[in-house]
Amino acid sequence: MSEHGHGDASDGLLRWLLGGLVAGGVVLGLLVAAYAVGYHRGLHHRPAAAAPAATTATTPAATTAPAALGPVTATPALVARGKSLYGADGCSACHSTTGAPGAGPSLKGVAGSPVALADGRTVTADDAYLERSITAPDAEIVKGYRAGEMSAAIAALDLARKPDDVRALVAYIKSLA
Amino acid sequence: MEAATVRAPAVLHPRAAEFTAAEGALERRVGLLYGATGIALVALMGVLGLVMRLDQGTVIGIPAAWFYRLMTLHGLGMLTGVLVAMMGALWYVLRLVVPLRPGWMLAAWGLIVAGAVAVVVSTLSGFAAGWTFLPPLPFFPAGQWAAWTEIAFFAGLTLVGLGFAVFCLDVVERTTGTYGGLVRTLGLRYLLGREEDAPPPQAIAATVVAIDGLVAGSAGMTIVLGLLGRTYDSRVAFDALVAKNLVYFFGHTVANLTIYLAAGALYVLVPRYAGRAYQTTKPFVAAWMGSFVFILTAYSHHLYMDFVQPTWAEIGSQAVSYAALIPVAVITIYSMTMLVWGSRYRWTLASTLLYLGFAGWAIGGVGAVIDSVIPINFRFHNTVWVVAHFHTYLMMGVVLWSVAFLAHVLERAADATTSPARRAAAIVPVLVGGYGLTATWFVEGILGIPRRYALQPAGTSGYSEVGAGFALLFAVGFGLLLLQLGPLARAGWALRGPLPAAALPAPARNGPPLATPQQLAVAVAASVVALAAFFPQVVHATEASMRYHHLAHAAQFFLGATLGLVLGSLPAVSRRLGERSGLGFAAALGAPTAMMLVMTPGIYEPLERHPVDHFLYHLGMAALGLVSGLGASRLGLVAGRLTYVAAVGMPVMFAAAMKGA
Amino acid sequence: MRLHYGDPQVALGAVFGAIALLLAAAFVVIGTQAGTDVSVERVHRLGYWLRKRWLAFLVAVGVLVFGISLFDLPYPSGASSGRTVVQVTAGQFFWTFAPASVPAGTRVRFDVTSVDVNHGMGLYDPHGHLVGSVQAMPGYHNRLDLTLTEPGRYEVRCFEYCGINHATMFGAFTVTGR
Repeated sequence: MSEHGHGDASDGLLRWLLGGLVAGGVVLGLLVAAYAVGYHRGLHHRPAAAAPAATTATTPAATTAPAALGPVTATPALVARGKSLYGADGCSACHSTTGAPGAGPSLKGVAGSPVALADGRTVTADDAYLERSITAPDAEIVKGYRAGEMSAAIAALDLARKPDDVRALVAYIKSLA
Repeated sequence: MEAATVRAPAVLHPRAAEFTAAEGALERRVGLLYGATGIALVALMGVLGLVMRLDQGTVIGIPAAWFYRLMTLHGLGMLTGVLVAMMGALWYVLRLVVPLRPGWMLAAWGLIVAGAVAVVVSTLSGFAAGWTFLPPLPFFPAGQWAAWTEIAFFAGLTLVGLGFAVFCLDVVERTTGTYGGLVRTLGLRYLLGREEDAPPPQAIAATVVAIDGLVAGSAGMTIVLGLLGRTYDSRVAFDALVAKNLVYFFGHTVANLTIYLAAGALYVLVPRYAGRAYQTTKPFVAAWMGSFVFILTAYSHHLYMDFVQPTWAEIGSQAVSYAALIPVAVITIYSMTMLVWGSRYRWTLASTLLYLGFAGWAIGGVGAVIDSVIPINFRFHNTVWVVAHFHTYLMMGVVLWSVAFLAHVLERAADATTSPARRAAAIVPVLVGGYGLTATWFVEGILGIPRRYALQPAGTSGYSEVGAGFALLFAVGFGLLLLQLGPLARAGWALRGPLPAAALPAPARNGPPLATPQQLAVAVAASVVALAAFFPQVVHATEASMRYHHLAHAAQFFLGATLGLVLGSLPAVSRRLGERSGLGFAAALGAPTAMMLVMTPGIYEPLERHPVDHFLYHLGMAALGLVSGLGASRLGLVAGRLTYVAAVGMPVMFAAAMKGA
Repeated sequence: MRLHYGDPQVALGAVFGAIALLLAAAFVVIGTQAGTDVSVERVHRLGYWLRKRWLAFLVAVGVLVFGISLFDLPYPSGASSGRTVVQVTAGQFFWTFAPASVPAGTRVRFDVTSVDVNHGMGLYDPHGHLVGSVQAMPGYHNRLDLTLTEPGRYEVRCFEYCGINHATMFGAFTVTGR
C-alpha cells in the first residue's frame, strides 16, 4: 500500500465508496426485477394449472408437473414397497393411516373417494389424483390445508423424477381401505 | 533472523551453535507455563485413564455413571492438555523469528484454564456425554446429569475454543506481518519460483495450523452455541446429520492439529540435537499446502457408517485421509529421520523423547489409514481399534513430545540433562507399557469389542486386565520421567541470570482488513445487495422452513458485519478507534455468539407475530453484525479478515444445523 | 454370546502388526545409526534417492487400495425391490426388529433408525464374529444391505455411545434355517 497525499486518498476513496453503493444498488435492483418478473409469470400460470377437469388424467400446466403415470396396478410387491417408502420418505410424519388428523390429511380410505379442495371444487381421488398429490402437491390443495407445506417438506425427495416410487406409494395408499 | 552470537548450551549438539538462536526470558517463561500446565493436565487425566482401564478389567469396580464421567473428562482433558503444551512449544520456536504478543498468549492461557475448570466441574458433577458430545445425547441424560452441567460443559468448551482462537489470531497476524502477507508467508511465491527465500519452517507450519484451527474452531463454536441454546429452549432441534458433520469437523481437526502444532516445533527442536539445520524447501512448502487442505477435509471418515452422508463425501474423505499421510510420511517424518541419521545425535532426555514420538506418530498413523478404508471401517468402526490407533499417536507421540518440550526448556536452563541410566529406567517402562497397552486395544479391536463400554463383553475382561497392567507400567515410567524434570528445574533455577533477550522489532502494523478503496467498494456493494434480506417478500418466502429463515437472519447479520468492517476500515475511523485488539476480539466473536444464542424459537417466535417486533428483531441481527464487523476491523489485515469470515460463516452453519421443531 | 475373531479382522490385524514391526525396526535402526557420523552430502544423496521411490511406492499402494475399496462399499444402492426390509429401531436402551427373523439366504435391507440419540447397530454372527456396523440416527434412515446365509442367532450390540446403558443394550435377530 503506497502512501498518497491526504487530499488524493480521500477523494479517490469517496469515489470508490460511491461506486460501490451504485454497483450494489444496481445488483439489488436486478434481483428485485427478476423477482417481479418471476412473480408475474407465476400469477399467469397458476390459473392454467387448475383449469382442466380434475377427474380425468390429463397433464396439468407444463411448467412443473410431469406427465401422468396412468393407472396403477397394485401388486403385493408394489404395495409392500410403497409401505416401506411411506416410512422411509417420512410420509407418516404428517399423514396418518388410521383416520386421525395431522399436519396433512389422513390417507385411510382416501383412494377412490371424493375429496374437497381448497378452491371449492370436489374431485374423486383416482390414481392420477393421488400421483399428482405426490409429484405436484400445490396444484390441488385439500380444503383446510395450506399450500407450500408439503411441497417444501418433500422437495428434497425429488419424487417427480421417481415414477416407480410414486407408483409404489399410490399402490400403498390404495391399500389403505 | 540471524542466530544470536551466543554459544549454544553444551547440552545441545556442538554444531547447533551455528543456527540456534538464543531464547529470551519471555520465551522460557511462557514455554514453562504452557508446558507445565499441559503436562499437569495430561498427568491428571492419565490417572483417570488408568482408573478406567482397571475398571474395565474388573480389578476395581466403579459405577458405570462414574466410568462415563471420567471417560468424558479424560478425553477432553487430555486433548486440552496436549493442545496447551504444543501451543506453548510452537510459540516458543516461532517467537525466535516473529514478535508474537505475550499478552495474547497469557489471555489464551487464562481462557483455556477457565474452560478446563468448567469442564472438570461439569463432568465430575455428572455430565457424561463423551468428549464428542454427539447431539442430541447431551439432552438425553437418562437420569444421569442435570441441565446445569450441560451449560457448564458447553461454556467450558467455548472458553477453551476462544483461548485457542486468540492464539491462532495472534500467530497469523504477526507471522504474516513479518513475512509480508499471507501468500508470501505460506511460501507460495517461493514455491512458484518467484522468490529466492522462504519463511522458516515453523512460520509456515504455524500459519497453516492457525488458519485451519480458526476454521475448525468456528464450526465447533457454532454447534456448541446451538447446544447451549437448547439448554434453555427445548424447542431447538438439530438435524442429526449436519450436527454430526459439525462436531466431527471440529473435533477431528482440532485433535489432529495438536500433532501439526508439534511438527512446527519439531522442525526447530530436533535440529538442535542433530546439529543440522532444517530449512524450508519447495517439497516442504508443497507438502504443507497439501496438509492445509487435507487437515480440513479428512474429517468425514468419522461418518463412514452414517450411510445417509452423501457418498461423494465418504469416498472423497477416504482419498483425503490417504493423501494426508503423504506429507507426513514423505516430508516431515522422513526429513526428521534423515536429519538424525549419522548426525552424532545428542541423546538427552528431550531429544530421546522427541525421536521416540515419531515412531508413535508413524505407527498410529498406519492404524488410522487402515481404518480409513471404508470396507475395513465397516468392521472396525467404533471398535476398540479406534481407541488403539489414536492412543498410539497421541500417547506415544504428542504426549511424549509434550514432556520433551518441557524437558528441552529445562535442559537449556540447566545446561545439563539427566543420566542415561535414569533416562532408560523411565523410557523403557514408558515404551513397553505404552505400546503394550495400545497393542491390547488393537487385539481387542480385531476381536470386535466395541469402544466406550464400561462393562466389557463376557469373557473379554482379561484383555482389559492385561491392558491395565501395561497402563500401570506406563504410569510408572511417566512418573519417573516427570521426576527427572525436578532436578533439571532446580539446576536451571540455580543457574538463572539475565538472558540475552533479542527483542524483535514489531512489524509495521498491517492495517485494517479492507486495505484498498477497491476492497471497500466491493464490501459496500455486498452490503447493499444484502438489503434484500430485509424485504418483506424475501422474509415471507423464507418462512417456509426454519433453515431458510435462519439463513435470512445470517444474511442480515452479514449486512451489518460487512458495513461494520467497511466503517472500521475507513482510514479516518480506524485511526479514531485505535488499536483495541482485545475489545475488537471480544466484539468480533461476542456478537455472533449473542446472535446465535437469541435465535431460539422461544425468543423469536413471540417477536415474529408482530411485524414491527419482527422487523426490529432482524434489525437487531444486523446491529450485532455491525458490532462484529467493527471489532474484526481492529484485529489487523489477515486476522481481521479471518475473524470476519468466521463471524459471518457461523450463522450460516447454524442455519444448516438447526431443524424445524 | 462370546465374541470370536473374524477372518477379515485377523488378516488385517496381521498386516498391521507386520507393518508396525517393520516401522519399529526402522526406527530402531535409524536410532542406532544416529550416533554415527555420516556427512550431510551422503545423507542427502541417499535420502533423496530413496524418498522419490518411497513416495512412488506410497502413492501406488494408496491408489491400489483405494481402487479395490470401491468394490466393497457397504452403501446401499438402488431400490429395495426384491429385498426384505427389516425395520431396526434403536433407542435408550433397546433394539426392535420388524420382522425379527428371516429365512437364511434372504437378501435383507436393514432400515436402521433411532428414536432418540445416535446409536450404532453392530451385528455379530452366530459364532460371535463381528459382521459390521451401521449407525442409527434420529430422523434419518441408514440402510444396510446384507445377505445372511448362516442360520442362528445374530446378536446386536450398540456401536455409538448413547448413555449409561450403552454397554448393556443388546438386541437379537434370528436367521431361520431353510
